Amino acid sequence: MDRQLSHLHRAATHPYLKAGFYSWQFARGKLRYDPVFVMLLRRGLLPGHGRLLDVGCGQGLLLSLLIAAGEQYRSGDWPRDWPAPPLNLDLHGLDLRPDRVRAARRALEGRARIELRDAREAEFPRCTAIVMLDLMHYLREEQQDRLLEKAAAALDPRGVLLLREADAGAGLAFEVTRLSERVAAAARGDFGPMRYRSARRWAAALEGLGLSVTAQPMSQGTPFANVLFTARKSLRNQDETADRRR
Amino acid sequence: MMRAFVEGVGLVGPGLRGWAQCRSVLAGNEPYCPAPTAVATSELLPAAERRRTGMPVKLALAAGLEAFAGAGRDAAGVATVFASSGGDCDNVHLVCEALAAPERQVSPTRFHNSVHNAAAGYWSIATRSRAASTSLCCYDASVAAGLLDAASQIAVEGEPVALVVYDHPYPEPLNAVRPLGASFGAALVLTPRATARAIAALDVVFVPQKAEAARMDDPGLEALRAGVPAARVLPLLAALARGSPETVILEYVAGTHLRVAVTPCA
Amino acid sequence: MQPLAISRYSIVNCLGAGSRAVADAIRGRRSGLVPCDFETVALDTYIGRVPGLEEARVRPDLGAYDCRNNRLAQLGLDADDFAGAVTGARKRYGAQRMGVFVGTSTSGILEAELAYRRRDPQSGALPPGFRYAETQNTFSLADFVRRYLALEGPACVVSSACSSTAKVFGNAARMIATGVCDAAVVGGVDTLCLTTLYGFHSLELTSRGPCRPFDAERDGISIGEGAGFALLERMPAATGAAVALLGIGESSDAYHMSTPHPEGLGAKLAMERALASAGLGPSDIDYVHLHGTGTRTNDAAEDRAVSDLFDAVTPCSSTKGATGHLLGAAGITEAIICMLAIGRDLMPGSANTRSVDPALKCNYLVANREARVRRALSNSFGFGGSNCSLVLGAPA
Repeated sequence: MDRQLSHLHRAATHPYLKAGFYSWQFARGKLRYDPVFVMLLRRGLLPGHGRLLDVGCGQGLLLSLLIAAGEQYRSGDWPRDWPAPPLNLDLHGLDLRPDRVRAARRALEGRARIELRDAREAEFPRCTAIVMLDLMHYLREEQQDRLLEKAAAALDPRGVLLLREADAGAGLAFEVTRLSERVAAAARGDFGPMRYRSARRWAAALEGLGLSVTAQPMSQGTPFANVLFTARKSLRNQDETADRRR
Repeated sequence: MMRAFVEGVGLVGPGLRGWAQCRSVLAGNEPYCPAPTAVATSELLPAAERRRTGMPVKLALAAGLEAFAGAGRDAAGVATVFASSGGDCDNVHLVCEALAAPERQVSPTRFHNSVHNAAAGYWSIATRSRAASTSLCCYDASVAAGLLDAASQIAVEGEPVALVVYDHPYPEPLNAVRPLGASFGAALVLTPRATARAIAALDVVFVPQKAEAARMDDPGLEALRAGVPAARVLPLLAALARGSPETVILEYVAGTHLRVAVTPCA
Repeated sequence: MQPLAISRYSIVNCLGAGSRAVADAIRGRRSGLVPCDFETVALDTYIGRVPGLEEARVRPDLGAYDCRNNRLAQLGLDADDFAGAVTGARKRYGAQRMGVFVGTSTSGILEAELAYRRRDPQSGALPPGFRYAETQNTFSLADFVRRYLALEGPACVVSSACSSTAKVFGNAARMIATGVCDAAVVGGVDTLCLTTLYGFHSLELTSRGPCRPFDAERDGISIGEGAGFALLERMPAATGAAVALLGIGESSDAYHMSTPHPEGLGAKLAMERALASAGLGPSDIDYVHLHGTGTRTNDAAEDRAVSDLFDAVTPCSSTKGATGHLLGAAGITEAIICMLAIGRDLMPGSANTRSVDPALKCNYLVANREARVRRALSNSFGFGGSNCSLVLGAPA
């Protein structure tokens, strides 16, 4: 299993060599240490078809991972107890940083559509999956709410919205998270304020949009206080397969 | 590679009255005794439809429903793949015969039942399923074509799929040019992940090279496998019955085959 | 789904051989339907017939496959230099990495019908020249196409009556998504035969005149024959293709073998699933090509489904008044007509329709309309309640 994971890691990060050494290093570190990527694949949280939008996609690492996962699955080298990764998603990403978008486009070479856009202004296409990782705390609270509304509206009735944020109610772990984000932002020259909520308030905001929410800690192996929220428009029911076809 | 888990199996054929009863025969632990295929008409069809259905539809329904019962799953809403080398042979013959007569009286029911997807149509009526359904033909390799398509649906959609294969002999004179041996039907309910009822995992790989198909040890079962295209599924069922890890080769279109690795679930 | 480029397509039917001929006929609002003069058929009906099939022969090395259906297949493969495009793709991908997923409902059944007329008077046996596997059997079409194009990858025939050659887009898309092949030939052929002409007649579904889809006086179908093929490939990284397969949706009616669900529930489900698969909404579709067979029940049921989903706004039409109902080949034929519409910014009207039934609510085009067609949706609904909708056009 570890061998399969390192193979996947290598395949997902190798394309970033085209974007430059720093991009590649960053991709390697992020993919290795952030537990959300493996979690998404192991738990099969993403649908197999339709369109995925990664809001604030950065270098497009999640998209690169999904492409590499699909190839690895097809070649037969896939952990037995993991479900198939998404094989037929139309992959889209948007980010407002030109250097990130450039790196993503170089690495992904047309296999995903990356747009240089501000998530607050952009129109979202219809999606079966919308992913927002570590994006919200850069926005003011009313912008966060509007973005969530926009995402919920663009979501297919059987789609999934994945949101990861730090839990402001998590005590010391949260303080560590906040500090680390502030340091990283300062290194980028970004000194704006960051706005957090408690996990309970995030869940309430999502539920207020008519979504059913499950939350799980996403900090394994890290000192941070991240929580992954999986929100759906309708309860996933194993027997209700009719409308999930295509 | 595509992976699917077998959750339920259905089987009806000569001397084979259900998967539950035949596991041990297929595993090679009991002798195989050929007997004419016997299949009951499904209660699920409305009475009027029940009268009109021919043998192929009955085979497909019987095998499919047994597989779903074994899986403990409701058929409504589960996508299906039907594969047959000939479809409804009786109706095709009767329509051709009617057309050769001067009056050319074609029965409307016979006509709409002679389509290759008649079994799929009746299945959806009987199970009240609006899920997608496809009806394939690949001559002697119809089982392989069906399995490949079903596995691809599992991999891409991540939802359960049922594969139903069946064949029923033509009456004369078509029987002489295309002997189909016996009436046979089998079904597999496949799922993307292992569930409580999962019997085994199937890893399906398409290989663009010729290879010898797997054979049955029992001469009677081997004759059935070689004689009826739908019975090409027998080695796969035998592997499931034996409960040991095996690789089964299924012949596919000219010059290609499927390699199916069967891994029993704990 | 990941859009798949449609890098070449070809079409042959009673309107002509090749895209240019068919597009010109549609622009000129011509119908190719003529009174039935096929074989020994003595029925009061109109048909869409491809001229010259009786004299045509398949390529000599594939002589065993010679029958009307495969001759028309060959005409289709040669039209629009489709075979040439496949040869190019074969060099790029390799013969083993290209699949063939085609549909047919008739296959070579005509050969069986003719053979039954020449049974041995004593034994009742079929004449020795009858070749079941290469002609009558449903798989014969895929076998023939695969050999004609020298392809060595996966192949099968989908035979689900009138939705067959739309559904094959889905089979191919799955095979490409799972890496079984990298490109695929899709499409199919149906040809005139006694089974369908007498069969639909016995069901009282054929019209005495040329069919008039969505017309107030419509009274049934006109059967036609035709071939259509399309080459599907993964979207190239550098340049986008002019037209792509964006989505596909399928469903079953669960209602009746030869009558559609009156409210069009299965049809609506197929269209909704197609839109979801494409990640688009009804307002993203510029034109809907209806199944529009011209029977009272199909058109009414389909109208309900389409009006409901598209708010009776999106322009739609059926071209079966021009080509006839190509049965198994309807799906690919009408998908290609949508591609022609997209390429020429011309929405086809409905030849033979005189006045639209006032009971039908959708925005039905009788005359052609010049308008930008960026994305189109095409419907194919078959016996046994088999429904399929395709979304074609420019990727999002």
